Amino acid sequence: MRETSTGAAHAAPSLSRQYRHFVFKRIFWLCVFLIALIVSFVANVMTGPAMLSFWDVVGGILDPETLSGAMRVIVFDVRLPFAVLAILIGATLGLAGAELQTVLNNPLASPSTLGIMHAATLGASFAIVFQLDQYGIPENYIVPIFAFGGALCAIFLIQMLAGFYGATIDTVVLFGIALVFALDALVSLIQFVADTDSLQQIVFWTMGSLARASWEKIVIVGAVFLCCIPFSIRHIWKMTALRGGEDYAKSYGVSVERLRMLVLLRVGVLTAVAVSFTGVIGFVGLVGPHIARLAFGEDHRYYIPGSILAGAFILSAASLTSKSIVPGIMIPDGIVTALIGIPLFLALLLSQKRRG
Amino acid sequence: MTKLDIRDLVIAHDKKTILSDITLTDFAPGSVIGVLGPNGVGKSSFLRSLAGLAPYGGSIAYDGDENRKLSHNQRARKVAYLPQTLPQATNLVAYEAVISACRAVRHDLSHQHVENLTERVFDRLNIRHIAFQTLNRMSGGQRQMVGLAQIIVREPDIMLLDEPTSALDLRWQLGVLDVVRTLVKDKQGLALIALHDINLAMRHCDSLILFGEGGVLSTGTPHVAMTPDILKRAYQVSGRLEICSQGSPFVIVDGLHHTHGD
Repeated sequence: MRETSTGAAHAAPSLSRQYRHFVFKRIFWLCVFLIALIVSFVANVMTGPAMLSFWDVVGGILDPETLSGAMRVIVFDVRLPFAVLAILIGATLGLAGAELQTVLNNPLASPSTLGIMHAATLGASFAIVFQLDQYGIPENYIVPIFAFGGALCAIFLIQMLAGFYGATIDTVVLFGIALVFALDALVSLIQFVADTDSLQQIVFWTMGSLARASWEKIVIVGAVFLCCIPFSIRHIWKMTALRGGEDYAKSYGVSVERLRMLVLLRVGVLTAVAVSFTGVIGFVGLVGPHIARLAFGEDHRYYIPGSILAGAFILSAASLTSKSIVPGIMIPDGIVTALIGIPLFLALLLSQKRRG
Repeated sequence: MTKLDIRDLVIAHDKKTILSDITLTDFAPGSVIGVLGPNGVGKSSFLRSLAGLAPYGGSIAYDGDENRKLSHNQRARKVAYLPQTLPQATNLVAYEAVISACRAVRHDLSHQHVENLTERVFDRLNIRHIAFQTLNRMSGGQRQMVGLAQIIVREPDIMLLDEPTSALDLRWQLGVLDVVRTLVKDKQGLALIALHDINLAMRHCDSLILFGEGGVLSTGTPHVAMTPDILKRAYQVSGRLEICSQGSPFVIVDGLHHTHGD
């Protein structure tokens, strides 16, 4: 067996060189995704009641002095925060979904299908209705903290379930559906006791919208996202190894339980911060990773950035759509992603069933 | 090399003891050991306990360190375990699967070094042609080879292989056993291989451990460990041990053994 191979080994280029050639295609696709994202971003800034030209936008971002006062307000206070938040939230959900699917070994896992997002919504609603910001912590901080509390409870439940029954596709998804129903009922209960002001805010949330974007929110989401990235990079090889199966990963020396806990915590933080500022935006965290998997395979060095880019692109394109369907009216983004996402989700579900 | 000592080992499954009183020490360095026994006797559980993936009673020590006190990472530097299941059919290509298996825990190795190890293991197993195929497009046998590559890429001292040849045809079975033997010789290490095929084990293992009746039935070189009586007690079959024209022992099974009550 060894004799036959050594002769060939000298003639053929080394595997590492062949591999570099092999991944060239992936890097090309990453660049394509990036360009698509930039295009959707610029289009997003251009689109609105006052249409801006491409050069207004690009020139204005590079040198604000070229814009008139009114234009500057439109670009910097309205359009840019909206477009940037779309990308950031999409990226956050893409990352959360990708890591969740690997760590639960379940292609149907995502913050929205498992109920993590709804649990975070419940936490956030709680903070709003009982006006917890009156105790000294500003609303932009207390709401994410409570959302994280809610997400943590959901994650704890999923962790327990996975521990007792194994995180098989059916169990976890069915559990997620049950959790979503239960949490929806609880959110309704909170709505029932809420006053008009908070009620409006909660309703806005359950629909999911980027309309209340502000630079402060962008800084918070961006900071949380950037803080999670180094940890994701640290785990990148372990996560790739985990794709082979839990027993294999353990055999290489990966402490799978610890890895799973750390990643689930990270997913909780990412989901909570996303939900706090935009409400329930489903299916980005489910579909993003699938697109990434198809285009980049499952080596997490490409899969994770791919899923981040795909998530960002989906939400950026969805927000563009939400502005364009009915001119002058912004349909909540959560409705748009759900309408696009549900058929995709069903297609995935059916293809999983067929694969058995 | 790493020294393995097993003393008074007890293995239970769902609170029911399946193997007990296992004491195995003084493994000869550089030897390939076949782990045999009927279905459900506890071969897999035995290997999983050695790999630190299942609880056990008694003592398993690597170089004097108790197995249950080692972290996954510490153990992985000495011991590698190949599960009975094949690696998952994912979108990973074989090359990535093997590289990640090495890099997941060995942060101390340079990328260049890992690439060299990976290159070597693909040559050793003669699977360069599937290096850039995704696992979900491979046959069961090919995936089993990738799984094996993931295990031996780190060139561990002790290999625990649970039916490494179950999905392979004859040629690849022999190839795998050859590679394992060479590796064990080079490292003066140890390979414990659970096998179903008695004759494959007799032919390729330096010694055998035969489980049955809730413990170790016999150990030793193939022609010492395997006798018609042992065969009867372990598998409830009646058979003979013959010597082939080249002097190696092999087993011929004549039929089911019927106990006197029947």
